[in-house]
Amino acid sequence: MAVAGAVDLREVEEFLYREAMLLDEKRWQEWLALYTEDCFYWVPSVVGQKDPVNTVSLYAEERMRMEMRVIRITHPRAFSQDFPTRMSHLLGNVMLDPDGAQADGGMSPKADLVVRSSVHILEFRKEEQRLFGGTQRHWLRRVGGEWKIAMKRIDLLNCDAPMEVVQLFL
Amino acid sequence: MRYDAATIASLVEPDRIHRSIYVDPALFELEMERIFGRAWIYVGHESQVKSPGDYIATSIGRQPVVMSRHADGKIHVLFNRCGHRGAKVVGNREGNVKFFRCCYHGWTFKTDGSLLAMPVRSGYEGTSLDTSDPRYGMMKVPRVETYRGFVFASLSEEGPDLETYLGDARSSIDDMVDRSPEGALEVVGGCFRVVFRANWKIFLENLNDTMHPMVVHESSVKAGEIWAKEHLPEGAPDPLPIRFTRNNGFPYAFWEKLTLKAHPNGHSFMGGIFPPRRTDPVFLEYIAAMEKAYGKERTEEILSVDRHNTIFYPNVSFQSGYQQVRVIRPLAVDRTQMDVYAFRLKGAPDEFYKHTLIYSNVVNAPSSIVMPDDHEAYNRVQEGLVAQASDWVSLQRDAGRDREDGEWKSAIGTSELPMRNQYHTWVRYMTQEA
Repeated sequence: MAVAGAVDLREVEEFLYREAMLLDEKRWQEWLALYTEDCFYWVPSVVGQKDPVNTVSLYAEERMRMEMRVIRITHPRAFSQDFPTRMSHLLGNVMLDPDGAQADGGMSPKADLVVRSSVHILEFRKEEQRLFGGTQRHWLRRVGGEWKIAMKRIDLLNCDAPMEVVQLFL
Repeated sequence: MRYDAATIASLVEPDRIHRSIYVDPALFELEMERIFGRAWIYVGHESQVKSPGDYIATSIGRQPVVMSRHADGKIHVLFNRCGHRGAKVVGNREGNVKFFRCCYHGWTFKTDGSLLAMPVRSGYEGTSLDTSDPRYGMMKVPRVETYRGFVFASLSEEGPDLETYLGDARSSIDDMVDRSPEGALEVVGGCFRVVFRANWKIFLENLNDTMHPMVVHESSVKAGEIWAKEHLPEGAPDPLPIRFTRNNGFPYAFWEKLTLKAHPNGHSFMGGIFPPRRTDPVFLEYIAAMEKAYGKERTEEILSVDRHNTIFYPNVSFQSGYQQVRVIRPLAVDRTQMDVYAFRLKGAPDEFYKHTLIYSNVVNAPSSIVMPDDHEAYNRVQEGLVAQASDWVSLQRDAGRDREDGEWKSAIGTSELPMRNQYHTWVRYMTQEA
């Protein structure tokens, strides 16, 4: 699977669509199961951010913090989710990104391929809908005949905009 | 409605305040004029404009300003307005220029704000235009002063100097800077700009409100506790994200034992909530760097200062032990932007700095697992206060039990002293007509 030519892109697409569905449906445990133990979830705060160290990031989470976030948003006392946030992800332009390693921010995830896609995320809570969007990259690793996400980076169009809080995963 | 001084004063009683303070747009307009137009307002840190020509665009209240470093190294705070027809000169947030150039008719300004040139000067011969009049440049705000690298400005010609204004509260800025082995800070790239739908003062009140963490933050406290229970052996030290969330769940008795201090100029701080000394290898390496720079005794003295939030009224809060600065930018009576900056302690180990970043993400990012619950509470205060149920908001906890303490008033950790104190200051500004 390490050779781009041998990759079944349809299978990779299906995998990304499944991730989007699990996020939309808040099937958090199944979503977490898509990620490797040593995964990293990164949403930079500036355009073209070089690394998650010399610039602050909106999200810079290893698996532990991802799991903590899931526990929080599903906890009965998470009153900020009394009115639960709803999300809808739309993916497109899915393509292999042979130069994707340059975008890994020095994290060097162990991965067999990097997939790049465009994403539009509708978020609704209380009375208003927000739109996030941009380019995302998944670093995928073949584990036991399945794809796992070793790292995900989302470059939001509005990463440096003033924004209200974001509670779920993008 | 129009507010005269007596009416304004009647909105603040010793231990309760009138709800219109949070919801009336007319009072918000007066605050912009009488508080943000007079007090020392935090603008930025000198490391944001390291080299000549560097600038950042921000605001003082709602006034657009630019902080720039001039060719001679001096830092200026200028109104972001062209002296010709008034266009906002600087259109982005930061950058470096040889000079500022207005996009409209091409007037140019030096980085100290003075008029450099305009196209076809001959058209002005014999007119009243006086190119030496600062009004035709980018005007400097009336006063700018720096305390240990932090730049403050005042839109008023009059008032106390910055050190007098900060008073003893400036020891919290000292605390932040002294923790660097080189005695200097550097801003980290990027900035969190978080917007909430509530009045700016609600954030200031929350900072030293110790009766909220165990209620508001229960979900993030539990997230850490549950994770630790599922993954770590009993008694194992908390990983940092849990360390930064767990304390909010401590019982009331813990918070009561903290000290609160409130300054006549509206400032306040609360004692530290995290154990100030850690024993992990990263912290030990940091202590070694400190001792090398300052010696054992002075290091001990620096690290023994233990404060959590310090507020400099009306627009900035320091978390000196975690190198975080939160800046308030009021947008409307029910809308506020908070800019959050993280700092690197110069000379501290890189790994130590990574802890600062973890704190930023866990606590102060818009995507933090802690702050959304604060903001939900602020927003609900704003929504709830629209109700006509009662005109009064209670600030009665431990009222009448404040102690005189030098320049300060002090109280037990669960007192609402800091809020009551902020309103003393609020009345002082707001009843003083121009």
